[in-house]
Amino acid sequence: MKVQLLNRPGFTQEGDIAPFKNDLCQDLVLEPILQAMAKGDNYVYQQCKQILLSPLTDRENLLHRQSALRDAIRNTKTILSLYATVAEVVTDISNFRTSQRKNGNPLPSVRLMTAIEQLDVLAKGLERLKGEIVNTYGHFTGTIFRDFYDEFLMEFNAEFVQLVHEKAALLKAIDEGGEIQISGTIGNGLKTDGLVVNALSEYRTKRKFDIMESLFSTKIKKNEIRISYEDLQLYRDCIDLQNAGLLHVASTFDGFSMGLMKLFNTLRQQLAFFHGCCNLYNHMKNMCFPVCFPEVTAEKHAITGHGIYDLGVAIRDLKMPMANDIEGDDTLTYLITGTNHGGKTTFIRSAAIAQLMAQSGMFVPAHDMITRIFPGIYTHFVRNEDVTMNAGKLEEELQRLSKIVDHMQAESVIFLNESFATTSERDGAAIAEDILKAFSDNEVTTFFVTHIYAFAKKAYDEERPRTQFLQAERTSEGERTYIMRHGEPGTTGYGMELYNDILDGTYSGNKNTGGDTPGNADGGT
Amino acid sequence: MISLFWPEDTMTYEDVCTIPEPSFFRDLNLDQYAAEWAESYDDRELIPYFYCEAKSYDVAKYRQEVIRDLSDPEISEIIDDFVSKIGEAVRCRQCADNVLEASQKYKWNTDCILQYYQAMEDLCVAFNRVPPKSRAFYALHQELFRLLNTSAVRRLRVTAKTIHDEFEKMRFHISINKDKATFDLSYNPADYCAPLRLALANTIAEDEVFVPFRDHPFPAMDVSPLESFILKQLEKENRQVFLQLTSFGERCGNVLSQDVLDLLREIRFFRDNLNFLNKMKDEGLPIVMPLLVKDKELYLDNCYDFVLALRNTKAKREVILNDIMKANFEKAIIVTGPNQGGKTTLARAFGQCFYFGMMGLPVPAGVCKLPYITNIFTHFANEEGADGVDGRLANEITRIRDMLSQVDHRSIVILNELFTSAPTIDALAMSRDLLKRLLANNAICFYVTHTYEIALDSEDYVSLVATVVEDGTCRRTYRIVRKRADGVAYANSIVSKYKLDYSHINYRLHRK
Repeated sequence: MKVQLLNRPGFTQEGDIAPFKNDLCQDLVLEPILQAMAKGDNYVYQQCKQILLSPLTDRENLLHRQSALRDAIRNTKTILSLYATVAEVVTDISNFRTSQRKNGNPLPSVRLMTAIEQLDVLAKGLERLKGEIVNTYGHFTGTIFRDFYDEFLMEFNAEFVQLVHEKAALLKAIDEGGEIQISGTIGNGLKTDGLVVNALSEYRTKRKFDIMESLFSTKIKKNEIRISYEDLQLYRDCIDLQNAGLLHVASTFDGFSMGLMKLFNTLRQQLAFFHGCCNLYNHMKNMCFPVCFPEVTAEKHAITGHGIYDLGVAIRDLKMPMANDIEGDDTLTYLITGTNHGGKTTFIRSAAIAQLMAQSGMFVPAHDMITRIFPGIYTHFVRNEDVTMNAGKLEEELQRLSKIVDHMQAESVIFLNESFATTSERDGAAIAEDILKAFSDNEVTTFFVTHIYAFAKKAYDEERPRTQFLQAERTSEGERTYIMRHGEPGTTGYGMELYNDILDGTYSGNKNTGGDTPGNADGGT
Repeated sequence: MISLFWPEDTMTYEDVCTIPEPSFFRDLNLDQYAAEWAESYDDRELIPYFYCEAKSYDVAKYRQEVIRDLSDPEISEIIDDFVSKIGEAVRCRQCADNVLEASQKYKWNTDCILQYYQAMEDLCVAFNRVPPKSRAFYALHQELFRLLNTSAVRRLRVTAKTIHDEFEKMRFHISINKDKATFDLSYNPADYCAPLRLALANTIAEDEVFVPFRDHPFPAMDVSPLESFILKQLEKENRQVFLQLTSFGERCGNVLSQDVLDLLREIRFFRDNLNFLNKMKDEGLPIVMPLLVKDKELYLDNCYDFVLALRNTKAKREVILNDIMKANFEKAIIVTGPNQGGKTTLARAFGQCFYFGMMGLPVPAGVCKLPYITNIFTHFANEEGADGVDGRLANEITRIRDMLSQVDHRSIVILNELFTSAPTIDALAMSRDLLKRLLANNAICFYVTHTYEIALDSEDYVSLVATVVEDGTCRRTYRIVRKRADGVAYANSIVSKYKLDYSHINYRLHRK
């Protein structure tokens, strides 16, 4: 049976639309989010990371996941205990396998027994999971979990579980010695061929005093010819044939054991994600952070939402950071300029995180959000605070961007943070001009935090269509509010304020704002 | 006989083994390609086929047709099936040659005969359904059809089949426990595993009805003592069949023809090379069937040195792709730029594309238009074997003289760092003169040199320059771009190196 909690039946993800997972993780400061999901369980951490970083392009599947997740959140307790049971079963199996691998014995009879014991472990695990499912039957109200429960109970009905039990028990009994019946034909080159095991039966070794029985059993029936064990070569051949037959029987269980193990593993993988989401959701609720399920439209609706905030920083700092609204309309390009440590990076990061979570079928950190499905989500953040003219830096930056373009499709979304600042302003402006034009001509939504004033000012003066100009707000007293406002790009010289601040001794670091400079200042990673 | 290499004047494998390794082979690292290839298919005996250059446009085309057929999944499946079935027949024949017991020898040979002709018949039937497009496979189809319909072959097959079927009917049953084992003729078809499998199929449901033993208890080709015991019992019951086998076996020898075995080698060569080259696609690198043209226009987009790429992908290093373009009127490609800029690698990539192209194989590039050629000449600076500066230069010039006498308008000449031991001014003069001579013969020249002045000599020269960018850690990158042989603004060069200017991005986004 297929476990279809996470994905709809028949779903196949076509290609990876966020191939630069490490960059996403680092640029968007996802680590605190993942930690909140995992709550110390490394497996949950890995699964959540993998799923969060594999956003979907299939809207139907996304809605499927949203609906399953809603049900899961309503039944957090059940999810937790289901996950715990499955995780224990999987651990039991892998423990058994490790111990088997240690005393690996190539003898076919031993391999057969290993297969049988493994079957026993699996059968017990199956029963435990079944018990758990029977006990929590009726908890879920959505069809996805209910369908899974029903299918599971039908597939693993009492009869079947009984049969697995019986077979495992019978085979265990053969451990004491058995009889094997094999039929065969003559194949190429007069070699034996078409061998088939007819029967395995218990066969007890005769006690010495039971002479009558012994005589009877060794008697040869009519038409039978005895193969003499006195001929050592023949005896050895008989043992070889017997072992080959046993191994063949053992291999019959391989597929079943593997199928069952796969089922447990898949179930664990999928439950781990729901487990992680429940953890995160409850954490957000406890902290009174706004949370909602986004509306993901089939149309090309731009990212629009209210009260979108940077979840990673919120969890890390244990407090609600400044939230922003995004009015998407038909905007393709957002040029974000303005004062340092004014919340620009936080702003695009919050948008990127919300989009990533939305496209993974999760809830989002916002009051409300409506968005679309992008065929690609990319980030390109400057990797070092030291934004000086440096040949290698520009090279590294462009190389990274080129790899992104290799994957990128038209209509994707990209978040650029301080890109092309590692060269002279004139060169940087020329590069940015070219690249952003190519992006917007291909309907790529671009969030661009930039200090290339020449570029931003020119774009503003030309009144570029479908472009929003945002600035980190500053009150007349020079105080930062960390809120983005529409307006003409300012001339604030990059670094100058910081320089003055540091010289004046008023610099207090950026630990409370989420930081403007990813990489080193965001110690959360 | 039919060959995949030549439409006529075919060569046997024995003849092919006498062809010497072409002189360019080592310079282009093709010897390493052949070695890697042979290792991964465990098939060293096919290496001589690498030396079978196509000496005309028609021959190259003929081979391309074969590769196109093999690239068709349906045809390739049919051919694979044929190869494996003939292989099975060959295996039976080898067993017949090697087993000790006479009756077993005869039976192996009978099985060989059956499978050999069955393989041919299956191929013909399959080709009726999916007709091949290449001349080679078309001719093979015709030839096998004719052979199968000769009366001798028909009679042979009928007898072999009768014997085979009689043996197939024989049955036995054995019961084994600790105390005794018994044998009888009461064959029981009941499979203990079948109901088990069915019951367990709940979660797997992908099994066939009869599953043979994964490991045969007696894998040797000779019968084991127990098998011999079984046969003795069966012979008592089926004396007539055993006699028939003996008389057929005594009459009938080896039917495998050397021509078919040669053909099988050729098929393996083309199929395995196609697969080997295509594997690079899994690494995200392009492999493409070249368009062979009769004029001199050349278009190589995203080409690379296949051998280096093999090594780099194993080591998870980046493979640099380069473009080489040449219009019909342009005569030579001059590559200049600093040391360690990837010039030699580019020269190898260039040569490899031509080599694979003339073999009819796909080439390591994204898009490829190649003038067809019949000769490849290379000269790579060779540090070893030089007895003094004068000796080396003399050596070089001698080799060039020999080369000049053979170069024609269907040749490419790849020269890598010539005359390095002569003073620069002399080297420049010699290079200019050499180029003039080569171009007089209408050869396509690819010249890697330090002396960038040559690139400025003529409008008919394509100038490629290695761009070396260092990022402070002394790492060099190896993109080679077409431009005048002098310095251009830094930022621009790396933007174009990463194909991030407007038109490139636009193109790259559109392509998907």
